[in-house]
Amino acid sequence: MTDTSAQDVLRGTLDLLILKTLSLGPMHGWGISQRIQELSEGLLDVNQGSLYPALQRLEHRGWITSRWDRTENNRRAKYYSLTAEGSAGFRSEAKSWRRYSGAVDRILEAMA
Amino acid sequence: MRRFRGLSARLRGLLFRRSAEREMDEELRFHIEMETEKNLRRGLDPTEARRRALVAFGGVERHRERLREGRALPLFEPLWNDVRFALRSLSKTPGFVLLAVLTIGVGVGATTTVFSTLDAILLRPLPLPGVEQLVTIQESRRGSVSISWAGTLLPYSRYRDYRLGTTPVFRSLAAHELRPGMALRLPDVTVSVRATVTSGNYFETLGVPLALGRAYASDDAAEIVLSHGLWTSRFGRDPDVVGTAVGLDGRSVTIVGIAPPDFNGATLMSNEVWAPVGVLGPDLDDARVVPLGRLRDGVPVERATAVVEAVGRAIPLVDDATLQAIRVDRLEAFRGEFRGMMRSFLGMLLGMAMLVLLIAAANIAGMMLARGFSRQREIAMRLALGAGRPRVVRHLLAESLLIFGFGGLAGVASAYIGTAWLARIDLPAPVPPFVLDLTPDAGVLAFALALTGVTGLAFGLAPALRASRPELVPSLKTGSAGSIGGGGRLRTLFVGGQVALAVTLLLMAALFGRSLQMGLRADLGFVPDGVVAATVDLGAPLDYDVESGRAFHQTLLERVRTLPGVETAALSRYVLAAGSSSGGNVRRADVPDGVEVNASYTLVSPGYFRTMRVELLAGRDFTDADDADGPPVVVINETLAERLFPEENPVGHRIEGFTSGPAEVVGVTAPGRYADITEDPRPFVFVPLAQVYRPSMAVHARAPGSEAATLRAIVEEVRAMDPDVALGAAGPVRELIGFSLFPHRFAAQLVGAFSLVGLLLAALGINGVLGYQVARRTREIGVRRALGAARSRVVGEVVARGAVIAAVGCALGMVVGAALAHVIRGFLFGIHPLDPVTFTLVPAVLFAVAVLASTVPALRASSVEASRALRTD
Repeated sequence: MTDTSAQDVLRGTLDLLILKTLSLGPMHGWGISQRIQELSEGLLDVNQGSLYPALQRLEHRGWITSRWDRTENNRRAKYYSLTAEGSAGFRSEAKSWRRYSGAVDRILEAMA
Repeated sequence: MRRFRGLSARLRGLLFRRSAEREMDEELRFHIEMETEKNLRRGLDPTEARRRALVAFGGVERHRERLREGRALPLFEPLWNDVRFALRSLSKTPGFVLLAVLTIGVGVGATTTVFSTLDAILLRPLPLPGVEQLVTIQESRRGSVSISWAGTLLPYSRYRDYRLGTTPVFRSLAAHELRPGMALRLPDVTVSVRATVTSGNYFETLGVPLALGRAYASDDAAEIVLSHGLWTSRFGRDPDVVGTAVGLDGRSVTIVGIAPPDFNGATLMSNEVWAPVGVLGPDLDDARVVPLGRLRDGVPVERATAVVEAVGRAIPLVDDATLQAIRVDRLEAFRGEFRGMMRSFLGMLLGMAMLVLLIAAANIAGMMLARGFSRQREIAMRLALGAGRPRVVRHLLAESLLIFGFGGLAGVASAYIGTAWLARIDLPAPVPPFVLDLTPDAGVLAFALALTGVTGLAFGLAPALRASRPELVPSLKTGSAGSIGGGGRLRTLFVGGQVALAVTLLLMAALFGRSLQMGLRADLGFVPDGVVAATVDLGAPLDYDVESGRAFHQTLLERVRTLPGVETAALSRYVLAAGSSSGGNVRRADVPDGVEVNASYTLVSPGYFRTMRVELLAGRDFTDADDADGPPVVVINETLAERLFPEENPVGHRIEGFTSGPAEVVGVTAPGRYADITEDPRPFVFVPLAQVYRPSMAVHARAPGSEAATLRAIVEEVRAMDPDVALGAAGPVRELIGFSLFPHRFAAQLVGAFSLVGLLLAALGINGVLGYQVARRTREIGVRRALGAARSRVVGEVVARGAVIAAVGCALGMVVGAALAHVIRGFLFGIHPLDPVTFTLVPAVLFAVAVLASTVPALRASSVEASRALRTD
């Protein structure tokens, strides 16, 4: 039981990070992982293998869509972009994450 | 929308598995390559760069598998797995599967067969091109109303006015009316044919081109069209028949066309000749028809109704009727009372068939329960290994649904057999043969499918839920369910329900059977056996007047009397209890403003009472002196006598009604059945035919032992006297009156067959549940036997268990049966819906069968040997 909920939190976080990345513009899977690394200044290393199931999940939820396109180097890659629902979902997820992490922060500070 | 997009992505994944796989590979490859390139840029050598990229990704194959899973529809793929798994586990017990599939097959087959019939008669549109545009004009009238199979008959002139006034909404407006028993005079022989008289534009309106020749030119052309069937049977499909002159009811007409095969007009009753209304008589206005029109394209029925109503209200009524409403209805094969009767009869049979299906489904549910318990160990193992309960339920449900699915297929197959059997059943004489396609069509198949699915789900779910909740620990520990007693309760419930339903069905079958028995045994007031009858009609357009008509009847009667084998013969207007009658009001002539009694009557010749063995309670038979010159006389039945002359002897009194002027009552007969066997007692009057002329007469001959020969001889005599005269209803009187018991006979046979199946299934169910309980308690029984329990005691216990189930089931079935009996009481005859004989005998029989069914497992229980039972476990 504990196991699954921990995973859920992780999974939820990854989704949030992906959504944030895509809110900056369409990107392919590898690019997403690189951007997360850059934006977190190397603190967060995305498990690249779990990235794709997360993308698939978000696509099934209708939050992101994908299409094949060319990279700057003219290579075929699958680009993901946010749908309208996805950006709305992102905003509310981001809000609830801030509330959650803020609460956790407060508790940690109180205990310290 | 969101859901749909997600779903469509999954569907794509499922349907285009290959390309999805390719895309996934390409995407992952792209990722690895990019990562490798990044590593290269950081200065790693190519092999190391790729290795690190792969490590960072963490097991490509594992992720591919995860993606594949995510791609699938969450429902379908596991479902397919369930089906495969279920197939595999079912194939281990072929005997069980066969029995179960056959059981469901019988239930679905019975239901589908009945539904197929209902569909063919009531639901399916007539097989005519553009049938949705075909409508009929129906008037509700008060006053003199004639209603035919097609609806209210209108005077021809009224139809003509409709035809002129409704051209804005109708492309064409035709008219039709069925005339069974017209005499078609062919060069060598005169045959009685089922004819339809129509307007000249009938074929054009129906949109059916003729197979050969053309349609008749006008409403009163001397031309006819033959059915393809008649053309084949009488003329061997000779094309030269077109143009031949023949006679129809005494008029000379020319065959101008042959209808296409399978064309039957706007009816399901088979038809042989189409003729213009003009053949009915020189004056078209005497004809009565039902209008039948084809709507113009895009004209809705509502608009047609408005126009037709306006036109209809403006046409002056020529007969003494008042118009109440005018409707435009879609064309249906049957209308009004006939349709309602069919609907309730077939609906009732459908209900009975569904009871069979319910019994079958309960049987399967019981079997699946038992199967679930005997697999408790396997199920417990799977649950313990981490299979979720929904998964186990789904798998068990898949087994049930598979069995129901195969059963449904078997049911559809047996429905084909069943409908073929039904199609061969002979309908009783007065009903014209139907042209019904009873073969199940797409709608029927959809019905069977839905039925199977719903019952499968309903009856598969409970066993699946129950079996997926095994007592985990003991199941795993002991291996077999050695000591656990529970669980049989649900199954006992199913078996009890089966018994109850079987009792219900058996009660219904017995009620129909008793009705038939009462009908056959009913005191008809005459003795039909040994008497044959044939009806001759000298009416228009044949050229007979009162004199020549009487002479014809008299001569025919005398010739029939001299036929070999004929004991006595007589004439009557109608064959009693064969479906026809006429009536009116009668009253006493000696009591002014006295009570009026509605009575039916027939015209008879002297000797009729002797020929039909009608008992005279008082007075005398008619004699030759009771003719047109003699004083009017009548014989009345006891029912009328009691109503008009409660305290007196009616003989010698005079009544008014069916004769010109008051007639003296010269005799009183015992009451009988007059229009049909199942009627209530009704007042009846016999009038000497010499005093009132009717062109149509039935000659009756009592010729026991030589009925068929006598009938043939009568046909010969009639033909010899005038080949234009066709014979109407002819046959042994027993057969002619049989039609009124047809529904009872049919229902008794069909529901009887249903209930036997139900009885068998219930017996199997009891046997199964007890046998299973015995098997589970082998050890306990063994111990008790070892401790000295008597064999008879063990037997008694098991049988008692069966008896309790049976008793409860019987009681429940009687309650349901009593309720249903009230629903079907309209179809019963001569018995109370709660007929005491039925309601004692049926439960007794079923109880006996149930006890018998439980003795088999009981004996097995008693033969359990203590030492063996203890050792085996």
